[in-house]
Amino acid sequence: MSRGYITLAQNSGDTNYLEMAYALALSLKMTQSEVFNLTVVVTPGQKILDKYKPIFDHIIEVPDEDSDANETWKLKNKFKYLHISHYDETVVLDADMLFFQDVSHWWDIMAQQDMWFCTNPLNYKGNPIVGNYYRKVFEKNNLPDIYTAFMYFKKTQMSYEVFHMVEMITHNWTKFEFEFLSAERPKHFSGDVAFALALRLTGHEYEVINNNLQIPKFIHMKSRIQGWPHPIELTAEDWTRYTTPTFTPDLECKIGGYKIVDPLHYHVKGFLTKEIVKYYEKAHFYAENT
Amino acid sequence: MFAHNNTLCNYVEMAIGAAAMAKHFLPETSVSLVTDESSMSKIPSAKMAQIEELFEHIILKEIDWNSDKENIKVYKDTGYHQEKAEWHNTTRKSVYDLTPYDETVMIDTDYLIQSKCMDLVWGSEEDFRINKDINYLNNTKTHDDQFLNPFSIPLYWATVVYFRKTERTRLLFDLIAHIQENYQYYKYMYKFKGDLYRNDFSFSIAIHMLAGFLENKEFNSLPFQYLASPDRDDLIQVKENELKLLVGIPSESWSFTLINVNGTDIHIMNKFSIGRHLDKILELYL
Repeated sequence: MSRGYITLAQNSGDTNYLEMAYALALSLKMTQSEVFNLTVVVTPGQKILDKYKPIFDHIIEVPDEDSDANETWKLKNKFKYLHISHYDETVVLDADMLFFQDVSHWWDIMAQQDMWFCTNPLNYKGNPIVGNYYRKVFEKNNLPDIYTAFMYFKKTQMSYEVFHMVEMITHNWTKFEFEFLSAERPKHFSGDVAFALALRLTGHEYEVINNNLQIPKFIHMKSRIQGWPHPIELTAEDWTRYTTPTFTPDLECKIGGYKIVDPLHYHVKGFLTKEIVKYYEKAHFYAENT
Repeated sequence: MFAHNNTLCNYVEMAIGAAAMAKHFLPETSVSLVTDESSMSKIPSAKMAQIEELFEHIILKEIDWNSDKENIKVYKDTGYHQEKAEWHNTTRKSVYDLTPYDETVMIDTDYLIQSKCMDLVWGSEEDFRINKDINYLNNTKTHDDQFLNPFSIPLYWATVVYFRKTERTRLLFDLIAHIQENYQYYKYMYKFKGDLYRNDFSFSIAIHMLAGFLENKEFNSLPFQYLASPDRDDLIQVKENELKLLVGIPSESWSFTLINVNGTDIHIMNKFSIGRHLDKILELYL
């Protein structure tokens, strides 16, 4: 059984998602003992730097028509993961993530189900996130509160059903939103909402969530769920304005004095500096050559 | 108890009052005083008898006069009066070596004991206990009372600290000494405000570091709540087992509420107000 990670890295505007995916791939290689392969999915014709190529397990151009061709925030190709992935078991990640400790042991646990979604992200202090600011659509429409930033799936009948439903929702977003999300409508297309709705409509939601276990988990660095005092949490999405992260050459990250050990979804693109990328490159070079 | 006098506060006399209350409510507990020669030299001979009666050991520890010159604290006497003076609070890092006891409670001289709660701490399974939550009399706790800064680690209060001598607590106090020596670096790292050296901050950082820079699950609170009266309050009357205070409201400096504190230990931060009632404390409890 092959296992690996996959992420979308379609560059848009000024945002270099491919560089983020490159750092993510390096962080997986530097921390994971068993599963450290990352497949990256890019826009057809997207330029790939030579140094990126050996770091990714596979570089795959978005197949068929790019469903996000006219969007700056590229989310509408997520339903293609099932067909794109070369692996028997896949974990989908967002590109703007980094790993700091080995989570290989999660795979055998996640493999007990056909699909497994993160439902309990943490703040940078390692505590459950505070409030529902970003999750009102889920709460008001009574959808399963899932995060596709860390999503596991096997290629089974059940996951085909879910992904197929996500495809239908993506292609008919306005209709599905009108029909099923009347209590609170999302402002934009949301991959998390699309998957949550697909789970609801296929009847599989209780087969893919396991609230008894605290894995998989990641640190969700959106500023309004960190438990910061009012009104600071309402002023800006850029959390680096309030608490400067530190990153050392030995790949140790601290935010607000807290050492980051769980996968970090840093969210603010400016977090990943050239310096941090260089730290990863150097560490990887030494690991490969010693 | 650590007591180093400055130009404003006679901490040794305050320690006499606090020790008298401690010995009254916890008669089986030994109390020792850590002070310095300068502070002791200013004690009138009449007070020496009280010191000898109350304190099992007088331990002299010289203060760092040079570094303390820049450690200027604002002492407030309610919202109406304030003065500045050097604050000699840098000797506590040495408590592990100074204490003659296997189990020690290090306690501020303005922490007034009116109960037997402190007895609950002896024989703790944990080798170190310190309070994280503070409870003000008027329930006006802010984020500054809970975190080093709003985005940083929790604030622990070094007002009352219990420890047993173990390798781990030795390491903790070594770490506190290291943080104190490199205080500007840690101030930058943890981004807390103010130029004053605070043991609360050093203890909080050391706890955070010993917990692996993660949320602390290593050290528990003391087995009682930490009640405090900030220096905007005024202690106006001392009776047996009862302290009467005028409690201020931060947004209304002219407004006070009368509160009695009965049978409960409390940290009275307005040191001027304790000074005004020291004679009564000694009359009641010595």
